Amino acid sequence: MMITDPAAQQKAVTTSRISLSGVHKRFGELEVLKGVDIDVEPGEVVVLIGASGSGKSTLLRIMCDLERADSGAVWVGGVPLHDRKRAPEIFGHVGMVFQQFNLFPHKTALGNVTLALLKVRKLSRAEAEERGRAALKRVGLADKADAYPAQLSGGQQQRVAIARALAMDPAIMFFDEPTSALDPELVGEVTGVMRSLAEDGMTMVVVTHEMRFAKDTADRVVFMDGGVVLEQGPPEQVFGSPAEQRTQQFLHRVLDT
Amino acid sequence: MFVDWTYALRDWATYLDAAWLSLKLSLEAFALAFVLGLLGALARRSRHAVLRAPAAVYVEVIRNTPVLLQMFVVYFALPSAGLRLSPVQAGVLALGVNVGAYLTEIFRAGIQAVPRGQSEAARVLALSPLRTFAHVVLPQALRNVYPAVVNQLVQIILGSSLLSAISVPELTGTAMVINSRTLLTVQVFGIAAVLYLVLTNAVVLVAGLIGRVAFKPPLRPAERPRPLSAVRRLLPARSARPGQPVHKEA
Repeated sequence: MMITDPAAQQKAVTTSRISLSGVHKRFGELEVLKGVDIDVEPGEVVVLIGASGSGKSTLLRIMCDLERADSGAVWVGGVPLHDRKRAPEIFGHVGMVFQQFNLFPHKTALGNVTLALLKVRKLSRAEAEERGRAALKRVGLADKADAYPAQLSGGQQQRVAIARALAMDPAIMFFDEPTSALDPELVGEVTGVMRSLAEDGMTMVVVTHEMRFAKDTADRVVFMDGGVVLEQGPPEQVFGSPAEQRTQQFLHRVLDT
Repeated sequence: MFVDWTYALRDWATYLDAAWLSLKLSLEAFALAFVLGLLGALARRSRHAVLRAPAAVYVEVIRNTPVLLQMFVVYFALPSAGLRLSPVQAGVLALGVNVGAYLTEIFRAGIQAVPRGQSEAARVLALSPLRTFAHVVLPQALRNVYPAVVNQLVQIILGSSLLSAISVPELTGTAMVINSRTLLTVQVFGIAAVLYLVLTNAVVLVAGLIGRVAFKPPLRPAERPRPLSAVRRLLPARSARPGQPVHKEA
C-alpha cells in the first residue's frame, strides 16, 4: 500500500505525523512484528504497552530507523523510512531517549547536549552552548552543565539524555522504556519532564511500563501483543474497559503488582 | 669488585647513547605500531571483506612467527625486493609492524567494548559514521585499552634488544660489545639491565601522567598505568587520605 504525503516531496522534516502500515520484522526465526498499522497525529502522545517480547521496542526503533522493517510502509515526519536512500533524512529531526540513557561518558552534560549542535548543525560554540544550556534548564539541570554522566544520578542522566534530544529541536520524541533502568524514587523526575513536554504539545511515542504515566499523560494507549496491535484507544477506555481478554490479563498483571 | 664496577662505568657515555637509541627507536616503532593498529582494527571491523581479509592475515602471520625472523626478513630479505634499509630503519619497521598486529587486536577489542547504544545515540543525532567514530567511539575505546597499549610500548622497548642481531647499536648490542672488550660480564649486563628498568619505568610514569590529563573524566588510579606496579602490590594498601573518597571495589 502506498501512502501519499505532501511533505514527502520535500527534503526537510516538516511534519510530526507518523504513519505505519503493514510493518513486518523478523530477527532470524523470530517474527517480532506481524503486520502493524499505526498512525500518530502531530501533537499526539501515544504510549505503547505490552508484555516484553510483544514487539513494542522494535516498533519504536523502526520509527527512528535504528531498525529497518522487512516490509510495509513507514512514514515518519514526511520521510519514507522504507526507502533506504531517504531514510537517513530523519536523523537529527527526531529525538530518541534510550532505556540505558546512552550518554557519552567522556563528555560533560553540556558536552553531550552540544556535540551534534557543533558537528551536525555547525553552530558556533557560543550558540551551541547557549542552546545547550537552555535545553539543560528545560529539564531542570542548569547547574549540572559541567558534570560528567558518572557524577549524575540515573534520573539526572536520563534528563540530560532528554535535553540532548531536545537541543536538536526535534519534530517527534521517542522514548524507549526511559524509566526502566531507574531506581523507583527517581522515576518521577523523568516522567515529570516528559509530562511537561507533552503539555507543550510535543509529538511523543513512548514505550513504558509506567502505567500511571500512560493513564494521565497519553492521548492514546496502544496495547501490543504477539507482534500486532491488539487494542488501542484513549487511556480511560483501554484501562477502564479493555475489550480484549489479553489486554485484561496484561493490565491485571501489571496493575496488581 | 668495587674497582670492577668503576672500570665498567668508565663507558657510561656509551651506555647512555645506546639506551637513548633504544628509547628513540622504540618510540618511533610505537608510533608506527599505533597507526597500523588503528588502521588494522578498523579494517578488521570493516563491512568489506577486501579490507577484513588482509588485516586478518596480517595479524595471524605476525603473531605466529618469531619477531627475530621478522627482523631478518626486513633487514636481509627486503633488499632483494629492492628495499634497502639501514639497521635502525629496518629495526623500527620490523618492531612497528610486529607490535602493530598486537595493537590491532587490542584496539579491535577496545572498540568492540564500546556499547552499541553509543553509536545508536550518535546516529539518531545525525552524526556521520566518521564523526561517530572520532567523537564517540574512539575516545572511549582508547580509554578502555590504555593500560594494554602502554604495556605494548614496554614490550617494544624490551623487544628492541633483539635488534642487536641485525647490528643495531642499541643497549643490549652495545653491552655485548663492551663485554667482549672488558670481560666484566656481571657488571656490563647489570648496568644494561638497570638502564632497561629505568627506561621502561620512566615510560610508564610518563604514560600515567599523560593518562591523567588526556582522558575525561580523568582516569581513576586503578585505570592508570603506574611504574613498579608488581612491587607496589607487595606493599600494604595505603589508607585513604582524609577527605579523599574511598573507591569501593566491586
